[in-house]
Amino acid sequence: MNWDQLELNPRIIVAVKRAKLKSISEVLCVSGSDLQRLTGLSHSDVQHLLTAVSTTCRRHPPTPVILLLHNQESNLKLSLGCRILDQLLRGGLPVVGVTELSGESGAGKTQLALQLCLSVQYPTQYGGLNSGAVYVCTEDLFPIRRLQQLIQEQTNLRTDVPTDIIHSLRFSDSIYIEHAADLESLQVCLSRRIPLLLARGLVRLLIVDSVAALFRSEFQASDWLERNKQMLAFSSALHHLSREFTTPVLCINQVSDVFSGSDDTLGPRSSTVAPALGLAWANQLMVRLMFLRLQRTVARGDQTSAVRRLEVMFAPHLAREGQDAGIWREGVQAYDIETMPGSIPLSLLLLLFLLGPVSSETVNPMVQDLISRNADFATQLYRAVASRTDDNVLLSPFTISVGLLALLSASNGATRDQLVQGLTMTGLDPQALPGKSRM
Amino acid sequence: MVVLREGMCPGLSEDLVRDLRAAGVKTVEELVSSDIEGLAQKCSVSYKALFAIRRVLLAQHTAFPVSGADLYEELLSSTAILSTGNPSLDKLLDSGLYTGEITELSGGPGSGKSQVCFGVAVHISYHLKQSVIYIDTTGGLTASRLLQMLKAETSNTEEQASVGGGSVKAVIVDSVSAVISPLLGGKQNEGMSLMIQVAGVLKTMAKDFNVAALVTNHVTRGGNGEVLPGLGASWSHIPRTRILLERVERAVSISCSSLRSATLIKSSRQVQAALTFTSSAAIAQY
Amino acid sequence: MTMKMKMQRTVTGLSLSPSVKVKLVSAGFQFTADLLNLKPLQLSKEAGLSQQEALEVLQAARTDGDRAGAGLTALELLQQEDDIRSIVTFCSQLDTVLGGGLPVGKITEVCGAPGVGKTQLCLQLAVDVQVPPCFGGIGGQVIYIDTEGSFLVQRVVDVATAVVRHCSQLVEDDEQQIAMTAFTVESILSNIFLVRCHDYVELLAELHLLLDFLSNHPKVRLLVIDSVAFPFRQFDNLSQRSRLLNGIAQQLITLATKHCISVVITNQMTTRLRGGQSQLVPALGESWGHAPTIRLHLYWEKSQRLATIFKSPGHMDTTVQYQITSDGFRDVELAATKETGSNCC
Repeated sequence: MNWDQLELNPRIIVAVKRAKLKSISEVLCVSGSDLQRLTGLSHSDVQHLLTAVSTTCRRHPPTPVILLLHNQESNLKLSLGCRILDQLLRGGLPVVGVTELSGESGAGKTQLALQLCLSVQYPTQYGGLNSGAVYVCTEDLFPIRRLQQLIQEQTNLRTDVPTDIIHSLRFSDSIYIEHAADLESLQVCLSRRIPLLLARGLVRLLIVDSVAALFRSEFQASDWLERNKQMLAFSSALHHLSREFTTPVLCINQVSDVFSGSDDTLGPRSSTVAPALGLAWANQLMVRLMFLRLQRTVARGDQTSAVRRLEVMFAPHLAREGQDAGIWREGVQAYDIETMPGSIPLSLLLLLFLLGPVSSETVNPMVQDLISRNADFATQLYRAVASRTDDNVLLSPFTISVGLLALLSASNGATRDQLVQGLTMTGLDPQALPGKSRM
Repeated sequence: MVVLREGMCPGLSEDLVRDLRAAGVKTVEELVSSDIEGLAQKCSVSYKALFAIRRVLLAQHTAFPVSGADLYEELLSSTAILSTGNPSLDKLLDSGLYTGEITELSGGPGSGKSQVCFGVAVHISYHLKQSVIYIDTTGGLTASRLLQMLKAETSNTEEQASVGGGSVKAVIVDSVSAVISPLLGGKQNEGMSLMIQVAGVLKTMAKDFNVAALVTNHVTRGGNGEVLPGLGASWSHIPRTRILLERVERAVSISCSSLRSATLIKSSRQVQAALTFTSSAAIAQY
Repeated sequence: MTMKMKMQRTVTGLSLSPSVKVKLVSAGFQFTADLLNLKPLQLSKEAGLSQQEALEVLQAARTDGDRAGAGLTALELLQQEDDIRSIVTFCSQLDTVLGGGLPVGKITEVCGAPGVGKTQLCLQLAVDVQVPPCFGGIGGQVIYIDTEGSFLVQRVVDVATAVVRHCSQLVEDDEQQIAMTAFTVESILSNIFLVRCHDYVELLAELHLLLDFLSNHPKVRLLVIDSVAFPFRQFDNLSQRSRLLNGIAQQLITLATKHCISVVITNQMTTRLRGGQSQLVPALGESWGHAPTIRLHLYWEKSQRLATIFKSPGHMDTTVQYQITSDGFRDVELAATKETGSNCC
């Protein structure tokens, strides 16, 4: 802190410097009487100092709310890409704030998140924010095929937007995908790469899919305090990004079973599940949405879909309501809306090409095991590579693992152990390794 | 360490004070311990006059030895025991608040500290016809609540308007921790000295004016989750009697239980004891 | 000796810097009375102070008596309380148990789990405080400190529209008719002053500056902080945290009593493990619980929203039911309340 910038009597500034006070927060956190003792200043001088310091801290003086009402920027909403669902959310996601979307697996959380990645790219008059999205995957790989399908079907979903606008958007180029398998890499992601993307204006939507995985797997029950602390640090980072760059943040959360009769602190539930991560996490959210998969199905044209219900659990501006929706080829849509059929192919995004078992003939279990281990290795390799670069990545994990396996057969001792570990082949019969990998 | 000033005693004129200062004698202490003969010469004042001044000052500023019997006599004649208006609480306090002593009530939020204070204030002013000074540091004093309690004592509005009137017999500070605790903790030394100063003033006031001082304190949790009065060890020596108030918790987390318990945790007269009372019957008198 | 000490205030009790106090005491000045007859120059010579310091000491000693402020008898306080109206919540049950609404000049804390309606109550109060006096309101302005980012203008417009509609239906005489012309959604919004604080340092700074703001805006009758817990969520040093919070509490009490405003703060709930049982308790620890004069706890019970007063010097512990409608914080219709009218114990 450069104390000379403060509008104060030089005598006071000298005293502050002499007292070795380093920052504004230090001055504000010391009690008035101790500030007197540290600086040797009189009561009134200390008051002057506090006023000056507080003034520099203040972003803006209290503003009448009427001025905000006419401020376009602060009233923006990010459309979900479906008129009826937008009505439920009174326009969409608020541009500042952390929104949570929870639901059972297969409820359609990721589907809605992908749809938002596309919706954000539209101009503001069509409910978008005219910018891209960054998608942080923490457990599964990014569902690239589904994204491509959604991009192709955009004209069917967004009948409200002129087709030439849809065609002019290069959807896949504006979606940035990050993989962060653990808290540490997520931290790097949130503190370095994502702020850079946001600052350049390349993206204006942050999606974390999912938050539960991070805090579920890494902590035992005994680490409860540590987990809470990490969770708060994570949510503070999200809040900070959302505020600094007026960017909506969507966190996808899993659900856990609740037993009847247990706590109902968060209000009546419409199902037997509740969002994971407990009260400490819930306290950090502004909007909590939940996707429920109902037992019914609904048909539209040649498609059928299980009925989903998007429910508002809480939000400062929304009522506790729900809206039924279906998941169609073109995306998530409330199902009483009429859409026009048709399909136009769009450009493809090649992000990662994973090798899987291609042949349809029956394979023996040992080879099956090896294949899945190989896939694990590929995933890890991809994460390692992707965490070091922002560019698109093309790699062939199989070639690399074959090369390493050849090296493995010629190695011994510690080298061999490390290779086996790196290739995720620990626990396999060492004799079986080189031979079987030739398959 | 009292500074010499003119008029402190006969013979100590302005000129003399100035001359004494010039000779390096500024305080009573210095005058008393200095060589009178030499000083008399330096200040060109008679030895006799200076000696007389010294004798008067000595008399004014010396603590006199008092025999235990005299002290007891004085205690009997001057100490009053003020009833709190709550029989069971009086029993816990060995019949009430003693003047000249500091009594402390500690307890968590909503444990009834302010209610006890209100009750004491109303009882002393209505039944004992004495005045009470109530120092409210938390903004918790509500006159309508006092009126409500008074109405429970008497329905005569004329009586309600004419409570108190006598000399001040009690000083209630609710709460003492609210003003001190922002200064404590961390690397803060100033708070500690202020706290001791407040304690000193309270003690002197209680003794000199013969009033009962009733202070409230918040609670903190110890390492094992047990409830302890706040402000730490240095403060714990200040009050003569300490009482811990707690909500009697029922099974549910934050139930609306109006039962409170009081536990004596420090006393020079009583063994430790506990009691429970209800807000509705004993202190609140709804 | 004791007789002399009685009426005097010690020098160490003055609000001076400690080094000055040490110099005064070592120069033999113990009581403020010792200082009163001195000239600044004289004092600076005798106590080895700079002239500036000596001047401050004398000023402090002379104004000392005035600072304490005159005492108030309970009767005067009662009259003062009678003069000030409370802020209605628009939930008549809650108003009744609070004795007419939220008291002005006190600190009220609203705690509850996320989504139970804390922010809704705050927004409702921010609008209610502006109801003109002829409708039974107090026609005051509001400072709203938003730390969570949950202040959405859209929602305030809803609540304000509902209140304006409610008042316009009540119009009976000319005075009310005239008052209604000035009581519009726009005027409501322009009388809410919003501050967003992103961390605790900004909150501390804002509270320092608030005194000035209040002197310039004497019509402010409500200060909302939503929430206090949020900026203090990440704090490793708990003793530092409770010290800062206690400092905030003192500042709020000063604001509330000096400027005659109602302070409403919200707090989150947290889980505490005690004896193997987990309990829901308000966040920020035990000592913070002393800061608010009145503590309201909002919670869910099955599908009902309930509000309990569980700390107040002037009210019984009582529970009432409320609901959040599109209009704001409201009563539950009578038919539904037969069980939980007031189940105080």
